[in-house]
Amino acid sequence: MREVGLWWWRFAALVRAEAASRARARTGWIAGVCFGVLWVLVAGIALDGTARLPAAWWCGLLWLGVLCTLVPQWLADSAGDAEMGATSGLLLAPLDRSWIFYARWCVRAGFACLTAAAVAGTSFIILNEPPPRHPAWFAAAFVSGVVVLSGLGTFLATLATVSRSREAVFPLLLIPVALPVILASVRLTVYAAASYGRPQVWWEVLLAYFVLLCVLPWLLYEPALEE
Amino acid sequence: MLRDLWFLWAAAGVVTLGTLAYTVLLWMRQTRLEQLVARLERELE
Amino acid sequence: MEKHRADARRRPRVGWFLAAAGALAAVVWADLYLALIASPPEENMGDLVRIMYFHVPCAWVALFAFFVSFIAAGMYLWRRNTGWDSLAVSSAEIGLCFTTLALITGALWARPVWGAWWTWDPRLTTTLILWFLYAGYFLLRGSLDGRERRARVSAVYGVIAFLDVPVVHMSVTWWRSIHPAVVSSQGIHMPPGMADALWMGLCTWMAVYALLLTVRYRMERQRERVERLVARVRAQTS
Repeated sequence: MREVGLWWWRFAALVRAEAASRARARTGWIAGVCFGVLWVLVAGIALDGTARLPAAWWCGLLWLGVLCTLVPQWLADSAGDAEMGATSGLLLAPLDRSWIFYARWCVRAGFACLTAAAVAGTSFIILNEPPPRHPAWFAAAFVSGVVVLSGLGTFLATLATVSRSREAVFPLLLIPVALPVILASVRLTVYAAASYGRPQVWWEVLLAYFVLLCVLPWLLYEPALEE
Repeated sequence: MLRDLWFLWAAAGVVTLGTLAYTVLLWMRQTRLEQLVARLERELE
Repeated sequence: MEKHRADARRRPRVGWFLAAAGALAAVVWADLYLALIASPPEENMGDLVRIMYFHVPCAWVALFAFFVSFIAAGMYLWRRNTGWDSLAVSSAEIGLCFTTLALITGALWARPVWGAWWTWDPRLTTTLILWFLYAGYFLLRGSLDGRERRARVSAVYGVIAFLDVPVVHMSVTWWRSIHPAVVSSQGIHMPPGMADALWMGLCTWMAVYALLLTVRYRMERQRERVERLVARVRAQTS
């Protein structure tokens, strides 16, 4: 019983340390939000300042905006790891190294949800999108998509950290792997916004990725972190 | 008919010639590496 | 004297390669004869069906090569023997080449049959994603310093890339596919003359894969030797 308590306490300490370091590294997430909002603006202008988009288009643009918000944040985190040794403190934690991943995933998913929500809010306003038909489903789909995406981003950013040209390599590592997640997120939000499509299979895709993200780092994160 | 054959020859050519080109390329890379190994070994001796 | 010794070391390799390549060339000629001349034309597609005897084996060999690369990457992470890493990168490179060939021959088939070089068919889309996954693998590999680190990080990505393939495949399968299914759980859907040509193609290109893998693997080992020697020369001169 005491052991379990200790283990939880260590993990919570890891989460706190990571959250503090994320909060300090402001440039990453401020730049991320700016990029995301700018993307929505550019998309609106490129579509000739349209008054009203079909739901499927709006959702596609929304998720591209979310990617534009998240990728700079992951790159900034990765640069922080490589150049300022942000990971080295966490390596001292008396826990299996894979727990570093789970702690980071929790914290980064939180930050990702907040920043992505800012972009979603802006795109509702700028692109004149009416409120979704099923607001609860919309929120659930949005949060699940962002959580799974940030798990992938956290893992792959760690891999890209040691690369000489991580800014170029990271998007290429991320996008093919994340494509089904993006697809599923778009489909689920389209369903929530306009009651259109079959949501069941796309929940299964997100679930499959979630399970992979829970299991794989346990096997693979330690070799990814080795020096 | 002739048009069909054009597509067929293009596909067969791409696969066979592409594989051949890749084999030759590998062989050239291998030969160059062997020469490099011989030169480096001479330098070390 | 030294040159003579180096030559003597090299000669058996040339002989071995030429013998294997010669035997394979004969098999490839036989396959070309079967695919282009001996097999019957199809009733709807005519001679265009013959593209399949190149396209399908390329796609299967590519998937097999990626599977070998995945196993080798897993073995590297387990055993930490650089030989496994050499095998993983060799097989992945050949897999990428065969994926490229499968995409090109697929487009050459699609243009006359479907009227478009590219369609958003699940099979096509997933294959293109697969191509990018492994292109990413090579870019990552190329930008990593240090033998051990390069092997370790690319092995981790190699495992992820391969595990992603079934997920990618399943996720887009829910779109309707117009891609013909040659082999399904009910067996092969074609007359015996055509099935023979297909099997012959598969065996031929598998043999080509085996030869290429051997050559590529030896090359990778040679490259490692060069890296070690360069380090030694640098240490001696500095």
